[in-house]
Amino acid sequence: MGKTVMIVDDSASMRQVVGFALKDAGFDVIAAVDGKDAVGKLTGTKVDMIITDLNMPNLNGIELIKQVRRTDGYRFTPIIMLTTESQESSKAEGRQAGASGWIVKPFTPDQLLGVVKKFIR
Amino acid sequence: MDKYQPNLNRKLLAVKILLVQLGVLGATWVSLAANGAIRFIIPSVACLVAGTAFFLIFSKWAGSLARQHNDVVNSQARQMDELARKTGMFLRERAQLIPVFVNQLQETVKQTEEAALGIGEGFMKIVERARSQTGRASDVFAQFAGSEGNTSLVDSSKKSLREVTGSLEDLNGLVREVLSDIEVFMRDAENIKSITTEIEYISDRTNLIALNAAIEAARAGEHGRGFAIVAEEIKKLSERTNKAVVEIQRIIQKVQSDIHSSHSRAEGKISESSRKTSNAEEIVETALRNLDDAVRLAGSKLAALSREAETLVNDISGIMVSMQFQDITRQRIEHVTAPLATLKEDMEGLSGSIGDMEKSMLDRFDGGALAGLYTMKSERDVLARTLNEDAKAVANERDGGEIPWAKL
Repeated sequence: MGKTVMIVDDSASMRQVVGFALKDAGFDVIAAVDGKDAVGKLTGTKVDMIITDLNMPNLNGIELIKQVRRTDGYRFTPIIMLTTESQESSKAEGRQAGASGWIVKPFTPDQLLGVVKKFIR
Repeated sequence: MDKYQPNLNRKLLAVKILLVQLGVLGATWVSLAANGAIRFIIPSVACLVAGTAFFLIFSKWAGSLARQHNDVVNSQARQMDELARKTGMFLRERAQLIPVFVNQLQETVKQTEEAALGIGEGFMKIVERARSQTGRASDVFAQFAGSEGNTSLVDSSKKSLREVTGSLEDLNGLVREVLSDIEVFMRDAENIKSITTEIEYISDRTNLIALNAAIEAARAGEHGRGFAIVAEEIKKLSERTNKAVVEIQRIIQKVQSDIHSSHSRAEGKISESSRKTSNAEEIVETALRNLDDAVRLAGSKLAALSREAETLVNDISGIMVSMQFQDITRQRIEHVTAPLATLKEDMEGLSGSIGDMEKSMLDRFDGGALAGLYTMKSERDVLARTLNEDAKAVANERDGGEIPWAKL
C-alpha cells in the first residue's frame, strides 16, 4: 500500500508541482489550499507526511503545525515546511512548533524526494 | 470677519499694553522726579507728551500696518487653501487609482496561475502519454519477442519451424528405413533366386534319376513295369518342378526389377529430400537468425525509446520545477500590493488632513486616460469594477460611511 502525503499550499501551481513529483515517485497525494482546509482533511484520513507552506490565509503553516501536533495520531507524523531563503526566523519558529524539516523554494523533484524519503519510504 | 484678523488684533493689543505700561512707567518716573527735584518736571512733562504723541501716531500706523498685514496673510491663506484643496484632490485622485493597480496585479496573478496550471497539466499529460506509449510498446514487444516467464510469438514460431525441419528429417529417416527394407527384400529375392537354382538342379537331377530308373525298369522287363510307372511320374514331377522354377525365377526377376526400380526411385527421392531438407534447414536457420536480429534491433529501439521517454519525463520535471516561478511571482506581487494598500491609506489620510473633498474625482475617471491605456478587456473590466466599487465607497463616505479598504 502506497504512502500518503498531504501538500498544503495556497498556490495552486505549487500544489501541482509537488503533487506531480510525489505521484511520479509512487506516493498518494492529498492537496489542501490552506491550514484550515488541511485540518479538515486530516480528520478521518491517514496521512504519512505533511508538506506545508508557511504564509497562507485562514491558518498559516506554523499554526497548522501546532494544531497537527495536538491531534491524536499525528504527534510524530513528519511535517516538512516549504520556505524561502529569507525565512530563517520562520524555520526556527517552525522547528519549535514541531516541524520535522524544511525545503527551500524553488526545489527540484530530486531535492523534494530526497527530503521526503528521509522520513518515509 | 476674516479668520486671520483675531490673531493680528491680539498682537496689536499686546503692543498697546506695552505702550500703556511705558506711559505708566513715565508717569511714575515724573512723580519720582517731582518729589526729588523741580528741575526735572518740564522735561518729564515733555517726555510724557512726546510719549503720548508717539503712542497715538504709532497706534494709527500700527493699525494701518496690521490691516495690510492681514490682507497679505488672508491672501496667502486663500492661496494655501486652494493649494491644499488641489493637493488633497490630487492625492485623493491618485489614491483612487491604487486599487485599480492592485486589482490589475491580482488579476495578472490569477491569469498567470491559471496559465501555469494549464501548462503544468499539459506537461503532465505529455508525461502520461509518453509512459503509456512506452508501456504499450513494451507489451507488444513482450508479446512478440517474449519476456521472462512468457512464451512469445517468436519463440513459438521458432519452435514450429524447428518442428517442421525436424519432421522433414524424420520423413527422410523413414524413407531411409523403407530403402533399407527394400534392400532386404532385394537380398531375400536374390536368396530365393539362388534357392530356385538349387531347386532347378534338384529337378534336373530328379529327371535324370527318373530317366535312369526308366532304363533300369525296361531292362527288368515285366518286373520293372511298376517301377517304370513310378519313374514316369517322377519325370513328370521333375518337369513340373522345372516349369514352376522357371515361373518362380520369372516372377522373382520381375520382383527384383520392380524393387530395384523402387529402390532407385527412393534413392533419388531421398537424395532430393535430403537436399531440400538441408536447404529448408538452412533457410529456417537464416530466417531464425534474421528474426533474432530483428528482435534484438526492436529491443534496442524499444530501450532507446524508453530512455528517450525517461529523458522527456526528466526534462518535463525540470520544466515543472520552473513552474514554481509562478508562486515566486505571486509572492513578489503580493509584496507590492500590500504596501500599495498602506500607501493608499496614507494618501487618504493625508488628503483628509489637508481638507475636505468638495467634489469626487471619480467623475474624472469614468473611462478616461486609463481606459485608453488598458488594451485588454480583462484590464478594462478591472478598471470598471474598481471604479464602481470606489464610487460606492465615496457615496458611503458622503453619507458618513467608511471606505472599505479592508478588501485590499
